[in-house]
Amino acid sequence: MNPNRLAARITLLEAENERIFREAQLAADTMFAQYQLSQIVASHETPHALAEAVLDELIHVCGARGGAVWTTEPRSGQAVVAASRGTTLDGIRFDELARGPEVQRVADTSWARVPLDDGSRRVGLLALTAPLDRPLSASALRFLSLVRHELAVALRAAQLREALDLERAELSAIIEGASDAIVLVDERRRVVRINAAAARTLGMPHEQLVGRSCEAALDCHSHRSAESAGWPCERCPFEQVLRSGEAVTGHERTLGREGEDPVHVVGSYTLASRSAVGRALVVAIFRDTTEIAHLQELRRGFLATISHELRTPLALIKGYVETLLYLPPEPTVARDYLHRIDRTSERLAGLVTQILDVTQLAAGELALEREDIAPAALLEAAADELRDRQPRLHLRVEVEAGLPELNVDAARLRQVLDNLLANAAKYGSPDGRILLSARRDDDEIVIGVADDGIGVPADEREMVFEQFHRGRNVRESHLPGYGLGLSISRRLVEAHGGSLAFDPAIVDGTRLLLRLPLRMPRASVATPIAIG
Amino acid sequence: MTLDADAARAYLRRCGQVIRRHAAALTRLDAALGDGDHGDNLLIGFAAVDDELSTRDDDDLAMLLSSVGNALVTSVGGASGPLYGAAFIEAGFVARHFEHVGLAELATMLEAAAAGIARRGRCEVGDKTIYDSLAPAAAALRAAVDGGAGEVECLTAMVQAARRGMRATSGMVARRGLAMRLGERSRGHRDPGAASCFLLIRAMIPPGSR
Repeated sequence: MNPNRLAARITLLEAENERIFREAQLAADTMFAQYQLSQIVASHETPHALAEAVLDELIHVCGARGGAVWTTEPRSGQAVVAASRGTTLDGIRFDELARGPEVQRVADTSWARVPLDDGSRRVGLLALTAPLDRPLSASALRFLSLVRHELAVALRAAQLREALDLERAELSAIIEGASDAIVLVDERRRVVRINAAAARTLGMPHEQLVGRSCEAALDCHSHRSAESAGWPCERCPFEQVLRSGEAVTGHERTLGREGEDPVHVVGSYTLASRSAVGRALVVAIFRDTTEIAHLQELRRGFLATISHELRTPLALIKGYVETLLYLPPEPTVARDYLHRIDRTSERLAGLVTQILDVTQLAAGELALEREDIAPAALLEAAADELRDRQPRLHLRVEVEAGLPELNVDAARLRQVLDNLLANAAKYGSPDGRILLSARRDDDEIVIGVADDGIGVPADEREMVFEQFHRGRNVRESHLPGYGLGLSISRRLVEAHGGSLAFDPAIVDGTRLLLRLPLRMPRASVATPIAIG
Repeated sequence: MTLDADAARAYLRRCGQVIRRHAAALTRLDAALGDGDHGDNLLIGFAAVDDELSTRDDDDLAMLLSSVGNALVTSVGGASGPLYGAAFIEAGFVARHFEHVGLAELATMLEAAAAGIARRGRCEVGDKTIYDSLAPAAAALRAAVDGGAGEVECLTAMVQAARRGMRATSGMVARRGLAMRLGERSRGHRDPGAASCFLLIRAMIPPGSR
């Protein structure tokens, strides 16, 4: 062969060798870039983080100037920008950019668009901007074609993961925030999850309850021993639901708590899930009805008492009126009847006023009209009125010198004093003595109402402040009364930021201590109380 | 200095020994930044290189380096295989015309290896990668050769530059590879790739001559 031709041939082969080598290396580079992109995809969880990391990598690998990733919101189907780099996206019309299925340069723009389809739907769109001096290379577009499906699947997975996390967080917030106790029990009746309200209701920390058997967690054994009937595990609603799959609702029971009062709950039990391999979850929702049960009891008592207290004087009035109408007695007797009707009507009017007070206090509608008043003036006025009505009483008023003025609703406080003095007069000894006093104790004024009467048994000294409760010695004495006065008085004093209680030091007779702060708390509206 | 196929074989066997000695440390470094398998991956890679060396007794340095590079690419699961593979393949490719490989030719081969890694990894100095050791080593060797330094000075300059480059990665925030996801938290950790690259460069000087 001609040496020149041989040399030319060798040069040609060398060039071919170089070209093949470079192509092989570039193919290896592309594979490596794909591998690196896969690692990035695998190490980012949220769609936003994934979009940002992938965009950075693709801009780097493809030699782009910038770009953006739009994702299609799963719920709304709206496209939102998940990441953008090196571009303001001004003048970019997403609709135009998104049209078409292929990776391609967008005509008349520097953009290359990469639709991200996961095989069934459009997950998003990736777009890269070319450098100012040249379009994106063909190898870059080829690379984008190679990776776009993997990116779409990864984005879709991240979207689903995010939606699932969000849903889980929402459900957790609902469960944790619920005021009802929620307990999840598995097929072996082991507690697998509880909410904060359940931990409170069962009186045990979360970590001590989870993993326990439901009967231990709900303290069924002590419950059984506490109630004569009880209910065995076969009748346990968890067991019923696990057996039948049917929900149990309105199931009432008591939940025992160590060292605390048991709570009365109404529970609903539902099968949350059951797997083919026998796994099952039952969710129980307990509503603490202790307070409701207590209120209902109060209400029943209130209504019974009210109807009794109203009916008795009404029956009396009706009896006298019928006698006067149909069997007219002697004028003196008739006059006596009319006096009795008058007194009974007054009692009725007094009762109605007290009931209205109770209702007002219960609704929290009591608004105090405060004014400055000297304690001495308040006490003297109350004492004078009692003296007028019952001149034979030995009523003494002792007010410490130099007491500051009180800022109170004088009419309401008078109501309290009148009530306490009336009690002292009513339950005191026939020729008894009443001492009405006022002194300063630190930053309080203490008003005392003391008598030497029948007193209140020590074990009833708190109960007599409850509505309609009257001490047993008072009930036996047949002295008239409704058992509302002390309850109303205490609420009125508490509305002033003060307190009303028996002086525990007094054993014979009664001494009530009314403490009023000299500096009144700002909010001084009566808090609602429960009436039946 | 002459780097022929036998010398290259001896060097590559030293590489395997060095990797076996330091694999655990490399894996520890990788545990902080990557997926904790750099030392193990290189153990697998250089075991494949040893196998390759035992089956090849030809005198063609270019072919030897090329086949070693391919062994690394195909045997290592992580990123280090394709990157070191590219380095050996590129070095072999430029060596194919060399009649004799001295310091100047070695500098050219090292530059080609560095360029191969930069292209494949799309990395540059400061990204906290293998390249942070390799690029300064190649530049230092070239400068020493061009300055007329002797063999020992040239190789020492190369190794020292690689060491400085490796140490500098501690202060860098990773911009390539898995460590990238750590962002600022990657600072303060030496890059395992830069560390293994330093070890492979230092292995060019036989232990007795250091």
